Amino acid sequence: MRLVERKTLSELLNNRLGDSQIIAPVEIEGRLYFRQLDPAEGLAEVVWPAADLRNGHSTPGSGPEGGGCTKAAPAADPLTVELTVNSLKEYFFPRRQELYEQTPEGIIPRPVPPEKQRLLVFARPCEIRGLAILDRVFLGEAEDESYKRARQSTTVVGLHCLQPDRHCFCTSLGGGPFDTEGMDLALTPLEDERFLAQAISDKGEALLASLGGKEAGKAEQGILEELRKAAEATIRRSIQVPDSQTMAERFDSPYWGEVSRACITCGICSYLCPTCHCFDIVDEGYLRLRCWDTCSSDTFTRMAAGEDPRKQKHSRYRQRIYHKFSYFKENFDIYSCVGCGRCTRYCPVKIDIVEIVNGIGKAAAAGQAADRASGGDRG
Amino acid sequence: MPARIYTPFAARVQELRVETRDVKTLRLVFQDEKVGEDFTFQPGQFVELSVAGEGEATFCLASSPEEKGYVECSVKRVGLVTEAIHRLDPDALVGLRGPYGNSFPLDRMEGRDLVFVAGGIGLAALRSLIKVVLAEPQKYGSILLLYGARSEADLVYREELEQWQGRKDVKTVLTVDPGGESAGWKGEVGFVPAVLERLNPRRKSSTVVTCGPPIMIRYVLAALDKMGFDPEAVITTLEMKMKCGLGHCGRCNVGPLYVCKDGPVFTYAQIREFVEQII
Repeated sequence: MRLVERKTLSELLNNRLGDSQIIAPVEIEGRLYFRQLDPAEGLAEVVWPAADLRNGHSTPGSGPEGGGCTKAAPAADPLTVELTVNSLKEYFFPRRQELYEQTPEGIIPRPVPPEKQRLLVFARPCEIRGLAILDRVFLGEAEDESYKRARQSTTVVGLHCLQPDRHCFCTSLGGGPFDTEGMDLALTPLEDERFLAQAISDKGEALLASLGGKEAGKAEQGILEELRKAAEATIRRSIQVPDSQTMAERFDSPYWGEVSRACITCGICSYLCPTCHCFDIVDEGYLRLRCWDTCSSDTFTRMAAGEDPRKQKHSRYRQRIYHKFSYFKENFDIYSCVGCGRCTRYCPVKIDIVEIVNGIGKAAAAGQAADRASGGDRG
Repeated sequence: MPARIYTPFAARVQELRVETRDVKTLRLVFQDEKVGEDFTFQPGQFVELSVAGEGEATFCLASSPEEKGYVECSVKRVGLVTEAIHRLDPDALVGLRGPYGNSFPLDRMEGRDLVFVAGGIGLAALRSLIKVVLAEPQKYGSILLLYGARSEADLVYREELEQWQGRKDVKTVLTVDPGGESAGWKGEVGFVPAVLERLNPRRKSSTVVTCGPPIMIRYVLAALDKMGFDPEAVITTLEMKMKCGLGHCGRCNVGPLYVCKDGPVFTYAQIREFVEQII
């Protein structure tokens, strides 16, 4: 572990801008977004993490409060209290990906862009855990080569969360604000524009070597431990997924109709989720594309002849919950949720995934639901 | 970034046979002969078929794997892609990727009495299997095919149905929904599940394979339940909206299963608890 100056890190990133793609948090209208940096702009757009939150920085819980109009004060340096709006998945599983061209004359593959190394900086532990979950889908039996290439060419510079906000619940899903899993290099922001930098992989070791800096001592170890404890203590939310039998028993509960009533099926929960990976394959002229999709859409499972096994809105919302907390677990032994809280933070109608999952156990069981199910609803 | 797992092979339309007023059977030949030689599949598997500028959709392979040099899909005109397929000119070029999914458990069917129950275009999903079975009928016990459609005019594969009716080693029963028969109709009149109950196939020694519109499958499964069939010996092939065919896109997920990669062929025992969510 080393003590690294922000200046040194900045120089390193500047040097890499020419031959690598750098993806980092930038501020747009008071909110943070992951963006690929424009080499012409240098690091000007990057929002650097800060350790000291008291001096003019935004306070925990600021920013969008799960919908409606919020007074999200554009903070000078909000990185330590706020996740980016978008997750990192789009840099591995693009929102819109050109697959190939199909004309009446033939099938023309898209040209392969030259391989470029990528540096992902200030990626939060939950984000990276999200990638590990996507790996199970895209690097499984049917390997998605473009996803694989993107994963292989990326070096991950992670960033510990000093001040998780009130929507965070990573610790109840096996993650944590100081987790280093999946990172190459882990950074902890300290005061005086310094970072504690910890190499996690060989790639990270190499990166750390080029950053130099003073070897961290016992004192810094102690600081790291204190910061970790403080950060974990900040997380007050906890998701409690019922056992599989309870999940099965509540599948037909009227609960799903009640909790999804407000849903406007906008899909923002899926699009911002680091683990949602449903997509569509569509045509744009002769170009065939893969585009993000959401199971909340009323066209998601509608077949050409009109049949639709998930016609009802509640059956689509339930699908999202069961896919994350029941089916994915059964198939991959992990929940498809990292506890980043984005779906709740940005839901326009304040649907709260933690509240909903935690309420499943108390909901009426299947038997009662069957009597109450409205006619024609077999979703 | 290309994603080659989605890139189809180019194939030419060699023949576009009219089956009914809204069903055509497409015979496709791979543009690259080598691809055609290497393309093997099992009865029950499906492909993604695409038309330039129109889109891609899922179809079962309706020809026998033993028929070399081409594959066939039967396409009912119901939406954009199927409409475009119906309009294709002979020799037109389409995209074809696959085969995907699992297949019918032919090994577990050997020595059993076989009962095929199909409705409408659902026969397309069983045709490949039926062809393989009828090529070596001695491997199986008695063979019964019950096939129904809304009306006489909606029966697909008329020539083959006649051939099968002429064979001694298979009992072919055709039925049409009440009102769908003409004056000269010699088959049964009635819905498939009801006719199936009347035929009352042997419960213990039979394996039933069924495919048809969701409502038919639902009632056929219920009828088989009522007749006391072992759900392990009842096989169906399911349809659900699909895009990737690889278990990635999430569309055909039901319970922990993906119809595209865990199916489309399932035993009734496998899907019993989710069946209401699918059909």
